[in-house]
Amino acid sequence: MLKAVSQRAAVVTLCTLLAVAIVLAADPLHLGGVRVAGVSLLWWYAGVAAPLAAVAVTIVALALRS
Amino acid sequence: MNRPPSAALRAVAVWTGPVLFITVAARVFAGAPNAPLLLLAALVAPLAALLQSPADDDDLAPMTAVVLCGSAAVLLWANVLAIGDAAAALGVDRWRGVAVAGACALIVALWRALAARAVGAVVLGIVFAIGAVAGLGGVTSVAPWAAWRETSAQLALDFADNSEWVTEGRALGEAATLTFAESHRVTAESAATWRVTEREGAETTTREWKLSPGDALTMRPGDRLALDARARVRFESGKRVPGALPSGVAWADPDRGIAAAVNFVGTVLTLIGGALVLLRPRHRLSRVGAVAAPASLVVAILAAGAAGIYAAHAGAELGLGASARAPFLRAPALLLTPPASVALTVTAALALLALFVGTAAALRERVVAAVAAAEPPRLLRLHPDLLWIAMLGAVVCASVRPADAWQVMLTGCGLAACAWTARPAENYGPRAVGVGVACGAALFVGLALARPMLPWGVAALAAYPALVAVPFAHVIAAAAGTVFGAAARSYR
Repeated sequence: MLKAVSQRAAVVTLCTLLAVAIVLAADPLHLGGVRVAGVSLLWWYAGVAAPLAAVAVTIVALALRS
Repeated sequence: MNRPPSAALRAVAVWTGPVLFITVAARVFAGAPNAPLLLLAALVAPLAALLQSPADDDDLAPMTAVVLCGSAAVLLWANVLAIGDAAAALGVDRWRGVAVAGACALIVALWRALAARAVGAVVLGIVFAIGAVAGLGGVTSVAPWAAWRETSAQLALDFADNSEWVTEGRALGEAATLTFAESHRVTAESAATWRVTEREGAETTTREWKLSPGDALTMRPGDRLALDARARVRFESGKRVPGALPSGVAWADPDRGIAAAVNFVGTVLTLIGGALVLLRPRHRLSRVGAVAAPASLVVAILAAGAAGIYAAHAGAELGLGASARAPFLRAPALLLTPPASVALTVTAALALLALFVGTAAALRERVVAAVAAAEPPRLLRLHPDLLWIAMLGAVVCASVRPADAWQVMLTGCGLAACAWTARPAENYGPRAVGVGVACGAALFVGLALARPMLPWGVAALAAYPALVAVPFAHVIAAAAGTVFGAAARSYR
């Protein structure tokens, strides 16, 4: 049961991470272009935060299954 | 259940081929609107695939096996094309790169003892890639995010005073048309015929000029200059690089808009569909594999992104001619002098080659397993590598001619996605699944081939044929299942 729930939660998280990136890129308010420490928010998100979060979630789900 | 530790690597190796590395790096370098999204999608698609329940290929429907083999061949083609592009970027004849890739894949197929271990080459490829990227970081003494910040702060992406393009001139390496954004005096360094297209309002005029070494032409904003591969040219220092984005701000924050988002959604769905079929683990991952597979993926893809950022930081002129296909391979030569530049370039080239060997070995395994599951003719049962070797021969011949490796990879993923219909349609029976997969694959191929002839609205959809073909395959499988079920009941 826990395995199935963790697997579904991981898939939903991955989809959410992608969806947020699309929203940041196409956002009419241009939030993705806001600079944080000289780098745009979109790049911090898509290049650092989301990949690390995606990998962490996947590792946890796979570890629970194995 | 048997859980070999390399099951994770096998899944990763299919994905992390040179085509993915080169494309992510080249898109980041060029400041493509979807570059950061592509980087994320290239990671999320295989991670989603790894989360699937393991399934062996033993119960594959024959039609699914055929589509799987076809998509593996297309993916192999994309990766061989990428190696050819890398060779062209390094100034080597394209066919030599294709021949080296073909020879490596053939050795993997013929040498059984090596074939089982060759998937491990992907680890070597990732280590070399990290080495090459770390080398670029060490040379410039900036972290990737600092390189991004410095590139984005450039007022104009122009030629440096000490650029080889400015001091002695170079050949583009492949025929190309350069578009000038400002007045620019271009000098011929070899005898050649230049074709200049000038625009006066709505009218365009094309003139041919036969130039000798030392002759120069002044281009005006909007002019286009068509050059042969071997024509050596010299540009002006401090002028914008033709074809590059106008400034660092435009590179860092290109105009995206809804069109780019729609384009991205098509790409990401195709990638995920392909990954779900091609990367589905055949065995449950071990604990080590459960950590190693996602970690390898993220390292490889972030290394590709960092390579693109460092290349953009090194200079926009890397986007000129053949080097635009794999700009990061030329970056060491721009930043360093031999032998350090040669060592770094060789490391990057070895990374691509090792990634290719890993991908070819993993794809071969999938093809051999799919063939074995599909109850093949006696010849293929006795020699399971025959089909793979035939596919390799065809792919090598096709790769001598340049093509967009990324589009070929998307085609392979889309075709593989058609086989994904098998899983949700399993309840309808193997015959119905076979009909569904066959119809979906046929529609996919038809849309892909007919795209140039389709009217605008349909052509836009046909850019990502999997988005139509996968649901179509499932509907056909459901309909066929209903028909076959009714026929069986009436027979009884």
